[in-house]
Amino acid sequence: MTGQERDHGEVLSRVLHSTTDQVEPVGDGLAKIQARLAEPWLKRQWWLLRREFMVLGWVFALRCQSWFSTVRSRLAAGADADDAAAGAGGRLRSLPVLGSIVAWASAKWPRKAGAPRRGSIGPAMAWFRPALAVAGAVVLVVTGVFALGQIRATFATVQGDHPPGTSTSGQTGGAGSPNGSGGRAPSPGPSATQGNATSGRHSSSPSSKAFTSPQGSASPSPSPASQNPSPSASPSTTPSPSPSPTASPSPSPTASPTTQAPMVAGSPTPSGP
Amino acid sequence: MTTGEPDAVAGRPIKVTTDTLLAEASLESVSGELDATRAVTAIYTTHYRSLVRLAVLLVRDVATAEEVVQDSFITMHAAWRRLRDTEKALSYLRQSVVNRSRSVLRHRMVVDKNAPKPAPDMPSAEQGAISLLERSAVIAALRRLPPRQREALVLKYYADLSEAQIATAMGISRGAVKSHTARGVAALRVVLELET
Repeated sequence: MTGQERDHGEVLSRVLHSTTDQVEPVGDGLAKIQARLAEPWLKRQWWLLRREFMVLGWVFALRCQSWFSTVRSRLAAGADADDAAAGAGGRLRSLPVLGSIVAWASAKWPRKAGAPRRGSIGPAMAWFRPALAVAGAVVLVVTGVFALGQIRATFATVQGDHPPGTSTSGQTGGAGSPNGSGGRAPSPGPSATQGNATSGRHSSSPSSKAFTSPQGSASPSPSPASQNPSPSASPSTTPSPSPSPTASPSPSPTASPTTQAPMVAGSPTPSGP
Repeated sequence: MTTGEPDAVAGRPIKVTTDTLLAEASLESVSGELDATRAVTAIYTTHYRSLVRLAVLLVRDVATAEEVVQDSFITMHAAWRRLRDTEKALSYLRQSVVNRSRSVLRHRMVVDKNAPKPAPDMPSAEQGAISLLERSAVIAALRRLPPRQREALVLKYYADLSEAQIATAMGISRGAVKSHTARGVAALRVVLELET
């Protein structure tokens, strides 16, 4: 950076600070934030997205202005029944089946001469269908994203209850105590119980296996697996491709991962000192 | 679901039900919520004013700037479970303020493009709001810069951020930050030399 650039930077910094020093926030922003945080989730999300919706509304209103004027002018001008039938078929040209049905119906039951006629919108509406589709897609995506976020947050909260070994990410289990029990009681009994509950509820996570493995290594023999073959230990509940080496020290091929979770769960051996 | 496990001390089985786990989960959630609220309060106390001023330089309107910053605090509260750190939260807030300011400017552009023109002798509402800022020739020149250059200059010379922090806040590379800053300063050179 040259000296001149530094001077310019200093001047700019001084001007920006001196100008914005006069700006003071109006009102109690914290009270407003807290009031909005107390609102229901959906209302909060709507409030956050209002600006995007306002832009959409603006575009829609502006586009509709020309459409309304077209409709008004066409209604005022009027047209005969043949035009109406052709217009109905032409409008739905992009939907071939529906368009042909409408055209056929118009030919079969022609409009009476004195009957009021619907305005043919024609090319003025050409933009409407894609715009509506895009708006619908945007709404769907936004709703999906927020719903997914909520579901993920709920899962994260439930999983944050588990010890760090069972947590799927460090952020939820990060607040664990130094002894690795995730803020729970240091007694081995409850932790074994949590591991059990975890394997029952979220056994699809490979990390739950990592949690149960120390206990599996503490139990000397895999024989309880054959004593307690729980029907709930289906392959779908433990999708881990390879059995944990610490969980099954025995080389027996019968100690499959499907039976490890119930084996550990039902193991009467205390894993702690 | 009920599970019996031996207690290491007494040898009695401990009953842990799903209800217990859910109750603990909700407790965890409540404590997370409390943490987030506390963090919002703490960061508000120390940084709200500077964030509003930063937003004012971007959107040129105090009321809108406050709205932008408040929205950012709300999203930060929702994202606190991921952040869990004041430094990260501040960086998140800056990024959110920049993004929302862009959104405001986009909206304003659409409105300005399509709104009916006001009478020539009548200043618009926005002009009234920014008259305070327009007193400085530098600010007026800053306003005429492209949005990215303006953001880069404001983040560098007002918020005193490093290039890496500016890159994070703007969502661009460090090279792009350097380029935007250099071009912005070059565009302001004449006005800045007058000020010196």
